[in-house]
Amino acid sequence: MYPAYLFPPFSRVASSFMDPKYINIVLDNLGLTLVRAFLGFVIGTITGILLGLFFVGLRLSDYIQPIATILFVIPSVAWIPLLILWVGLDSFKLPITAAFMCCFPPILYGMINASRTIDQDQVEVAFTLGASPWEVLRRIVLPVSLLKLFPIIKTEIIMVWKTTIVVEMVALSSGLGHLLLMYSLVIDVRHVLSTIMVFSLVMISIIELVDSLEKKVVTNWLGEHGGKGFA
Amino acid sequence: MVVKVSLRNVSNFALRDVSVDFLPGEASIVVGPNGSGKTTLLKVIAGLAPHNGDVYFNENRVNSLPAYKRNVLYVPQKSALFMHMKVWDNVAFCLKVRKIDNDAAAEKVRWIMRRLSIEHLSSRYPSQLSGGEAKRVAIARALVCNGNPLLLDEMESNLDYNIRVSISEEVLRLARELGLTLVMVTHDLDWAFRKADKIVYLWSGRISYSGPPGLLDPLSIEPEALAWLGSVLRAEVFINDDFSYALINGFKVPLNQVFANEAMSASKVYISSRDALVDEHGKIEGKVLRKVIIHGVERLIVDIGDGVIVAKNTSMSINIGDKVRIKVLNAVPLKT
Repeated sequence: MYPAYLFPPFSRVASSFMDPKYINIVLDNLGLTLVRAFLGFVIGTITGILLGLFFVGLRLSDYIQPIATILFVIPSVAWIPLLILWVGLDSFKLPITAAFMCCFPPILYGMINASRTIDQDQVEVAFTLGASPWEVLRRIVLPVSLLKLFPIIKTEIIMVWKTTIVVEMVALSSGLGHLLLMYSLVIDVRHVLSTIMVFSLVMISIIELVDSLEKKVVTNWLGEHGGKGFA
Repeated sequence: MVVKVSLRNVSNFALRDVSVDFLPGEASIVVGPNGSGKTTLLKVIAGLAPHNGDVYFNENRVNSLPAYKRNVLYVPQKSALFMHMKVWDNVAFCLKVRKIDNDAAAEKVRWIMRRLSIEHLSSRYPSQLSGGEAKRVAIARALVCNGNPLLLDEMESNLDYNIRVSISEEVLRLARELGLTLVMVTHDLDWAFRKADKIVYLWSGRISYSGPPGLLDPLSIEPEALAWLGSVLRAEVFINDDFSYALINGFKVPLNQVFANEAMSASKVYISSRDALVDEHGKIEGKVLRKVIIHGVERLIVDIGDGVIVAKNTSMSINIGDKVRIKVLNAVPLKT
């Protein structure tokens, strides 16, 4: 009823992973995509956290929050046409900048909001205990905010992954996104689907990794009970 | 350390024209209704509330010193423990930020935790503590710092009465032992009048009375403030195994059982407005001087000859100058 070249059986899709040639192509492109997404994510996250702390420390968060909110609600793929104009079609600068634009605004927004919910009594007590504003940021605001930031970080990892793949599809000639586009142009649905499976498997592995990291950090900072009553 | 506060106002106008001294070794207890500025007064001393006026530690004006350089020991109303740190790290916090040598810090932390009986909690997180334990940890975290004065905001209302009293007594003992200037806020008027060397009564952001509890002259306080606070009057106090009482106008009024055993030489008692009621079967008789309504309840300031009593009136229609009978449930013997 349905042509096999459009709807190949699962066994045929899965058999792609037995093909060394396909595996090599996927691994080469996967490496590129991972590096691009990872660099964009790390730079965006660290910048978001540090700038967030900076604005909170200078009590500028009220002024910055509207800007962070506007940046936060812009879909990250909407930046791609502009970024092509601003940084060109460079195979690293473009996807890394796009990944940065994807995760920096939410992390900044989340950091400002998380630090706002910190119990002011804790901050005041820390001051009376001799902690300078810098010590309060480092020992109270940063750890408490990071714990609250974890759900956002997890979401942003997924978003960065998706954005990087979209950039590779529309503007680059390498990476998993580009590979997917190439397979679909030649109507190789079997490899399109197996590449989509690679997307999912990689993402699920990363989420599992971040989950276990989160558990480790929360256990380290809040004990086995995982922060019950954490304010 | 002598702490002197002289304020024109604070930025949120919670306090106005406040001038008060706190002396070393003296237990100064700040009382007043909600919103009267008690917590703000502590925060002004701690450097946490912007204000117009001066704060002196001994002879040094500390207005320009930020909170983290004032070296005060501050325990807020909510214990405000750092939830991401174990009890040990909470207590050691100020030693860490002051970069005290690890061994010396550990010894100090162990000492204060032993004094407050919280050694067994050291590896727990704050969310695993009861309210009383959390309060002890918060007090230990402040006392380990070698600072002065000790500023203690009121205990959380969800703490059991006995726990609150036992922690407060322990703080008084420790403050005396360490020679600290203690400024403590409480809602427990009976406890405050019994234990304070000095009562600081705040009413609408101003000091209505400041001095030893026994020297409070009820008629020198504005009627509305007196109606909230209750009264101090002269009375003979008798301590017996079965029934301790104060003799007021020739009638026996039971002493607050919590303090009865400490009251050997009291010559004055405090009666809160909560513990005196207008009652036709009451034995103490007096003449109504003023009527004041607080939180929808009428309170009468009644002259009983030996002094005045503030009594709640929930039933009868009474006018100024009328004679009324009062039933007093409880009297607190004051220190002489």
